[in-house]
Amino acid sequence: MTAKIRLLLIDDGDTYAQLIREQMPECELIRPPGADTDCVGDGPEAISFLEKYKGPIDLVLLDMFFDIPEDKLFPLDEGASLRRTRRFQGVAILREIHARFPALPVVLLTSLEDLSLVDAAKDLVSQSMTYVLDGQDVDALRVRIAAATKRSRVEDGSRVLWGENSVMKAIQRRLTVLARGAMPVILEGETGTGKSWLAEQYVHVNSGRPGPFIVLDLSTIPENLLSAHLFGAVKGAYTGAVESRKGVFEMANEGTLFIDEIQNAPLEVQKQLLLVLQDKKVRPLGASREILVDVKVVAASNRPLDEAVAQGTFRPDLYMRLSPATCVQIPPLRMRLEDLYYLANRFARRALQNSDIASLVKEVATSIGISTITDIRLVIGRNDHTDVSGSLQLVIPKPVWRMMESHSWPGNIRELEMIIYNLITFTLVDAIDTVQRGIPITNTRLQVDAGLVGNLLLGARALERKPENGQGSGSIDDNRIPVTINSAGTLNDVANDVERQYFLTLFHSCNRDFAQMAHRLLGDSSKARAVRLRFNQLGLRVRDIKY
Amino acid sequence: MIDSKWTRKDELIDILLDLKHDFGKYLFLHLSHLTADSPEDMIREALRTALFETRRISGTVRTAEEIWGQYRSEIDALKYAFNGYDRLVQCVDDALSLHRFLIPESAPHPPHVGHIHKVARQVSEVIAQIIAEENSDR
Repeated sequence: MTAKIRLLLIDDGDTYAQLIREQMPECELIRPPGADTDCVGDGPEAISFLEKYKGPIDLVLLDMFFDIPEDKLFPLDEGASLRRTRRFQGVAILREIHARFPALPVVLLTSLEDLSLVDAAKDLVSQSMTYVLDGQDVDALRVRIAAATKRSRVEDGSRVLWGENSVMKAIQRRLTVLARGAMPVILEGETGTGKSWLAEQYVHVNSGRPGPFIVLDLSTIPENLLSAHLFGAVKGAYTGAVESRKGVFEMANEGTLFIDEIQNAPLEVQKQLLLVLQDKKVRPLGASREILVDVKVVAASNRPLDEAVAQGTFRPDLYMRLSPATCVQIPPLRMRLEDLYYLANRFARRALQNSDIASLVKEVATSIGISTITDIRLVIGRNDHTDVSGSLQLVIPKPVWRMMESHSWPGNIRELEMIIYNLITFTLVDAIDTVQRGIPITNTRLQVDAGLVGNLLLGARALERKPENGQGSGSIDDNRIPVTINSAGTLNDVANDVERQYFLTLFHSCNRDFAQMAHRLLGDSSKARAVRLRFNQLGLRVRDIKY
Repeated sequence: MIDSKWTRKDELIDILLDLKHDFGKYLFLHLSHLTADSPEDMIREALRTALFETRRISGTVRTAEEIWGQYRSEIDALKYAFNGYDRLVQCVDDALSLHRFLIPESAPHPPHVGHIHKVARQVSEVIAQIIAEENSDR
């Protein structure tokens, strides 16, 4: 059992969508916002979607023949008839996808025999990440999708967090065992260590469970809707329940339920969770009967749960039911620096899937005079001549690398990822500026600016924990913070604006810990949930806030 | 000066490729999941979809017969004689005639799935042969 393969289907009809829905349960089609079908219908729409879409895509399935109006067709070859352009439109779309998203695997839905009739296709299909469905049945399609995604996932996911660190290797062995069976798993670790990734990509994937992976973030759900969210509700069970809804336990039946930030769960919710874990059944609000559920629970906490138990903010019976024996502590990045180079390179390679970076890479490739760059690699020092043919290489001077190794990485892997993305973006922009000033770039090795890395790390260092009674002081100096006010706003707008900026500053200075924020704001760290709700009401989202 | 024979041959090949695509993708794919163990109801449902809901696009549904009718009229309008015409008509007719198995009263048992696959696949195979023949005398 593996996680579902997330497919973007580019097709002018819904034959393949219907086929995949009905006969390929291992796949999940991505439905574009506002669409009433599980596909995008033409090339321009597909490119526009890919540029905006921030979610995961394992694979693009691309039809060949598009019977659509002429104004929605990408041009094929010079002089190609309308009929030919429609028949081989997949090739024209593939060309655009390769240019903008070179790391995105694509399966072209046609036969090699037909493809041989179009000259423009020969170069495209010989590139990596392109696969041709050479057969016209479901099994052929299934085999081709599996082959394409296997390679993509091996490269992009399965090793990205493991590396060579001995603790991580031990965790991998332990999670392989814990993934099996119905027992819950606790993942403890600082923010950004990859707990949600491990839950989905390792525990769930290796659990062998046929059901879905469902995420429950307790801090984002209003308290009065929590029960309905957890257990479901029948129509009319409460004001506003205009239709029956499933709770997360029922949704995760035979699968995995990931409870993020469980340490912030209100005590009443903890009691309800305990009952479900004990009885393995839920009763939706307003329902007369209970429903049996078979759910593997993975609970994550960014601070030790036994401490929360000792402080009285976490129920000891729930802690025992979750089973401390299955608790896995994910080390912070500063404790596994031997993986820094490996992880940095994984993120560099993954950066190509970001459409903004992909378009910058394309611009740099054009400046250098090469057709396509399919990989980004980081190399340390000018004398590192690791075989990186076909890659764009960013050369990090050795002193700069040592600076990265001595950084404490308070945001852990997530912080590293952001810094690598920023480092790549700024280096590419610098290269493009250089070319625009009339200075040609002649090879694929670009020097990373030492000052740039220093600034990126400095920005992060300002957020590091300071030893002040366990509280981070961050950028709040002398109890004053600079605030920007939009004088054109209403009083309410201004108040929200000030509050938003204060929350954001506090969020950084408390090292992204809502319990600390609650302590600072309300003098009570157990009110973390209330603080988080207000945080969200102000339009702030944890995942969107960079280090 | 462009030889009109070659022009019409190219047009014919274009039409045949489109027909091959439509019958391969829209007709055969609906049947490809059937196996020798598939229950008769499933076989009939797959045949019904393949023949009568052959292509869905922008909310419209076209049958296999309508698709073939369109291509056949385009081929006839070319007034270009080619050797495989009768073979093409025959194999498409064979595929379309699978509809007789839809009604249990007239055909108590649908044919073996292997036969259905063979008939449906034959359209693509015959078209590929014809295209190869037409290309061979260039």
